[in-house]
Amino acid sequence: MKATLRATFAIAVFTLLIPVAASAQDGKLNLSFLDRLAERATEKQEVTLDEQMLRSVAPGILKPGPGADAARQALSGLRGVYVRNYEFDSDKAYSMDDIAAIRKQLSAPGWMKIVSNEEKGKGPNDWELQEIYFFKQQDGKSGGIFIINAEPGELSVVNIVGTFDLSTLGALGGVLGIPHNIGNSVR
Amino acid sequence: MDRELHDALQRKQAPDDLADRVLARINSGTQPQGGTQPARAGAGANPVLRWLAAAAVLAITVGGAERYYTQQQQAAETARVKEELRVALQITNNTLARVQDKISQPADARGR
Repeated sequence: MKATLRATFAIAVFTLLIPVAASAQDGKLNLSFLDRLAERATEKQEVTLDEQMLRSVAPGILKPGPGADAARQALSGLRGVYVRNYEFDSDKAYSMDDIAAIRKQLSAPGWMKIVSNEEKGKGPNDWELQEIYFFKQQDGKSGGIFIINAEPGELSVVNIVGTFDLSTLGALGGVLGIPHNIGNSVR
Repeated sequence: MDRELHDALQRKQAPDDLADRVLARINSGTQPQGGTQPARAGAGANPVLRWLAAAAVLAITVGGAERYYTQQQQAAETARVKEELRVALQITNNTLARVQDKISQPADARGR
């Protein structure tokens, strides 16, 4: 009886862990931890585009024209775009502890930190954090990127999933009317 | 010639039973024999065919409207995703620029 219970418990735990493991393997992070911060934000921009959405509208987005081929290549590699951008009216609206749950996910295998800047001043609200991580798939290809800029009163988080490089994203941005400089800063 | 024309166009009194005959024909629903209107044929003559034709027109109209609505929905969805993608890439661009600024500044310049 005890063994059966133990086996049932083990299966339940294993079942619960499967989505976490799958999520960790494709460069997609769980950003739901930021939902409570969103409630406190005075201004917020949230974008959640999964692979199905991106695929279904790709032909409509990419009209023939300059840069269309590069943009098509960029879009075909994307499997998800998740962005959270919050502004708060108080410097005490959130702390590093509020973003710890997200950063903890970046310790999973495959994630590599390539840029990091963490500053802590004397005061409790005198801190900031900038980090960029790349996710490397098991086949060695890039599977995603995570960018965070956290300052008192402002938080930006970007998680782009898929096989791409930042220069091809720049081409896609150009088609959408954004200057071709995405990724210039970290190349 | 003038005489013949005058006789032909001369006003004649209608037969006394003309009104009765016309009413009887209307009530019986029969077509006058040898009239100038040709007998209607095809779908109009058969009520079932008439209903089928109406149903076909309705189906085509509804189908066309549905297709138009679907296309409008698809266009709206494409525009929405395009705008969201534009916003996402804009924020990505701004965030990367912010990180670039921070890491390129000397620590002293940051006032810490």
